[in-house]
Amino acid sequence: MLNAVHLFKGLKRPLMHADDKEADKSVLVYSWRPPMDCVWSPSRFDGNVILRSAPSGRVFVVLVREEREPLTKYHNVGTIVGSVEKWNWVKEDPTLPEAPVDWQERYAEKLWSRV
Amino acid sequence: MSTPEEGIRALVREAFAGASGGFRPCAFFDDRLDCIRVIVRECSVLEIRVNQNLTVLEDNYHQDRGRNTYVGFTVKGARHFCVEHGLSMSAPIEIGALLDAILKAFPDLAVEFFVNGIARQLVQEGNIERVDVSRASGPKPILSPA
Repeated sequence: MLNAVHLFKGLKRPLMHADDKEADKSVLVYSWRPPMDCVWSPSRFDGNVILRSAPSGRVFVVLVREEREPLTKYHNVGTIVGSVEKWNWVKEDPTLPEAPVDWQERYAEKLWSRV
Repeated sequence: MSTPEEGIRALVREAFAGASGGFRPCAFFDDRLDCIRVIVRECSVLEIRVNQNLTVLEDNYHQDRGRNTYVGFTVKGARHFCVEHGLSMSAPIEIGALLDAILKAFPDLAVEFFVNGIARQLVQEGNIERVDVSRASGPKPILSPA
């Protein structure tokens, strides 16, 4: 994620989490085009990871949720201000390199780019 | 000194040390992202957006494996969708009823292809009948007046 090229904020779809009816607004989305993909072999339950070249024409997207209040209950890792919720591949936008296709329809705003 | 791959392998084995067996086709409610996820095969996936509420999952490497292209789908904004379309979250939801509600909610060709051409085959292939959404209990979304 240190190599992320774009950071977006807010999902343009309904998202409720616990009593937060507007949890979509607090989601951060990092995107970039990494050189490698990691594939479980044969399954994640076996723990074997194979590195292979990233699929072409795709970008890697990581969804992170900012915690409403910093979490301090996990003493071994320190204060937590956000959690990685999910990652996946998405087709690359034809006009904004290293961003997901249709990013304007997916996300509320683009916070920054390093293009 | 271990390689990064060996480090990941050790972490994952530790995380799944209490799990038995391997991957099985499944449908589950993702509480933190408010989604219903149906996954028939575990692999590196490309997420293709059908519309604001629907995503289909494609195997990134289906061509070199000669396997089925599609491996699952996601219904996003699940709490809102279920309330709006009369699907009770107090009991497991029939996947067939969920797909029927999707067709009714989004009457267009892309969604029809998604439901009848992809999703129904996936749930049949995975022998998935219901999804437990009990984790979605709690405050319900308030629907805007039509």
